[in-house]
Amino acid sequence: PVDRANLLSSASSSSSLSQQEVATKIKQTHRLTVLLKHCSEQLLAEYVRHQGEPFSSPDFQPPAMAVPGLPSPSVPPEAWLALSDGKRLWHLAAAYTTLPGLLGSVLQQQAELNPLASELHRQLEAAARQCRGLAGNLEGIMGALGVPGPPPPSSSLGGPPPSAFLAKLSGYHVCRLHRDWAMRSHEALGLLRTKYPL
Amino acid sequence: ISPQDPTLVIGSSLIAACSVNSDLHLKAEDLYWTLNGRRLPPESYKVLNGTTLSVALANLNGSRQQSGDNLVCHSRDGSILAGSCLYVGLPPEKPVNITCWSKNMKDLTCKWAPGTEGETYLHTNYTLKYKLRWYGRDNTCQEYRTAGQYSCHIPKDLALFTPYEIWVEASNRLGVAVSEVVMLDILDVVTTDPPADVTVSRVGDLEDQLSVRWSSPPALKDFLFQAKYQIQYRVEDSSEWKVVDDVGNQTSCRLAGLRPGTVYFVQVRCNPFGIYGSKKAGIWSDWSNPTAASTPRSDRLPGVCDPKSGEHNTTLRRELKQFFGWVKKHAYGCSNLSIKLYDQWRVWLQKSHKTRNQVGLPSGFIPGSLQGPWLLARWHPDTCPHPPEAACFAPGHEAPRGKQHA
Repeated sequence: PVDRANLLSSASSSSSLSQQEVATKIKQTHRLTVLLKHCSEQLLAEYVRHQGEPFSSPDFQPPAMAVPGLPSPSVPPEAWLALSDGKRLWHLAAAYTTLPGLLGSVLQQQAELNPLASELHRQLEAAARQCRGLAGNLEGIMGALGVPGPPPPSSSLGGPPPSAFLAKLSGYHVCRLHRDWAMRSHEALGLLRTKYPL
Repeated sequence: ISPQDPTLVIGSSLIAACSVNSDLHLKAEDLYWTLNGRRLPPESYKVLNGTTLSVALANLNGSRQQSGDNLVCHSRDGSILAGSCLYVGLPPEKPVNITCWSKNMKDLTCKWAPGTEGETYLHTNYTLKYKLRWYGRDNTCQEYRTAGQYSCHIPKDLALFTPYEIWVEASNRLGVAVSEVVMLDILDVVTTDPPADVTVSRVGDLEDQLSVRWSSPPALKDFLFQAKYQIQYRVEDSSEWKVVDDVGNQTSCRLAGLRPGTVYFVQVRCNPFGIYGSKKAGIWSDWSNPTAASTPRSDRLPGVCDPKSGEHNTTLRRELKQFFGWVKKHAYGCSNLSIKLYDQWRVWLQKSHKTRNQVGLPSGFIPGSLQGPWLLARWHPDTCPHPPEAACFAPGHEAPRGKQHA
C-alpha cells in the first residue's frame, strides 16, 4: 500500500509549498495581472493606430470572427464569478498557454504589414513574454492548490497566410482578447488574494 | 471582396466587387462600401447580380497608411462583411547622395538619401551592396540604420589600397530602382575618434585668453598620418560657434581676444589626412565633448579702465598705441572703424557733443571723474559685424600675436 500523502506530494513538486508561500505567489501573480491589464490596453491602442480606419475609430465594430484556437472568455461575467477558484484558474491557464503563440503570429503578420512600427512589434513581443510568465505562475499556484492543469495548446495554426485585411482583423481580435483576459485574470487573482491573505 | 490586396499606381482606377453568401439572406442592394472609414457614394456602385455589388474607384491617392487602405463592404446595419487592403503608391526612385566613411580603417558606414520624390506611400526596402572593383562577387550589407534611417554598416573584411564599388537598391511593391555606383578606396574616407583629453585652462591672469590642449586620437598611431585640427568655441549663453581653422599638426592652441569673466565652451576635432602617404584629406571626426572654462573676471567696472596718475601718461600712451594695432588687426571685416586717442575725456566730450547720441557709452561709466588718456573705438554694426571682443587691454602685457586667436 502506497502512502497517499506521498502520492500527492510526488504528483507535483510545488504541492509542498507552505500556506505562506502560496499566498506570496498569489500576491505576486496578482501584481503581474495589474501590469498585464495596463500593457494590454496600450497594446490594443497601439495596434489599431497602425491598421488605419475603421480599426482605429472609437466605434469600430468588428465582425464576429471564428479564428481557430482563439479562446474567448466563453463564460459570461456573472457565471464567471460563480465558478470555483479551481475552475477559474483552469480557464485562465488555458487562455494563457494559447495567447503567446497567437501574439507571436500577430507579430509576424505585423512585421509584414507595418515593417516600421517598431514600438508595436516591441509591445507584441513583450505581451507574449508576459503571458508566458503568467502561465508559469498559474501553473505554480494550481500545483500548490492541487488543481489539475488544462491540456497543452494545439500546435500552431498552419494554413496559408491570410489576406491583409483578414490579418488586420484577426490581429485585432487577438489584442482585444488579450485585454479581456487580462481584466478577467486581474479580477480572479484579486478574489484569490482575499481568500489567501498574507 | 475581390481583388484582395491589389497594388496600384497613384492615379489609377479600380473596380472591386463584394459577393455575399446566399445563406446570409442579404441582397446586393443592402450593401455599401467604405474606404478608410469613409462611406463611398452610391453613384459609384453597380449591382452585378442578386448577391454582388461592385464599386468604381477613380484617381486613387497614395495609401494613407503603410499597412494599406481598408476597403470594406458593409451590410445596411453597418456591420462589416469583408475587406481588402489597397496599396497605392509609386515605384521607388534611385537612391542618391551615397556617402561613406571608415572609422580608423576598420569598417565602412554608408548613408544615402531616397530619390527626389521621397514619399512613395509604400514601404520601400533598401539594400546596400558592394564589391571589389576587380573581383566579381557582390556582397550585401547586413547592419542597417546604424547612422540614421538610410544607412548601413559593414563591420569587417574590408581591403585597403583597392577600390570598391558601392550602390543601393530600393524596392517596393511597384518596382525596383538602383542608385549610381560609387567607387572608393577605404583609405580615402577615413575618419577617427575626436581628440582625447581636451583641457581648457586659463593663461595666468590674462582675462582674454584660454589655453586649449589635447592629445591626438590613439587609434591611428601607426598609420603614418598628419593630423589637422579644428577648434570651435562659444560663450555660454550663445549658440553661435566661432571656429579656429588653421590648427596644424599640434596639440595645443591659445585662444585670445575673449571676454573676461565669461564661461566658454570649447570643442576640438581631428582630420587624419595623408594616411599612408596619400595626399587626400580624410573626414573630420566628431567634435570632442564640450569642455568649459572661464576667463578671469575683470576687477574693473565693465568698460572702464583704472585711472592712471599723470606720471605714467607716456607709458600708457605707448601701450594704448600697441592696443590700437591689435584692435585694428582683429576687427576683421570691419570698414569705417574709427579709433581715436584722447588725452582727456573732457576734450572728447566737448568734441562729441553734437554727435553724442551716436555713441553708446559702456555701462557703469562715470565720465566726470576720470582723466585720460582714453582710447575710443567706434563702429557701425552694418559695416563692422565683428567688432573686436576685448573690453580691456591689460597694460604691461604684450598684445597677442600670431594666428592662434580669433
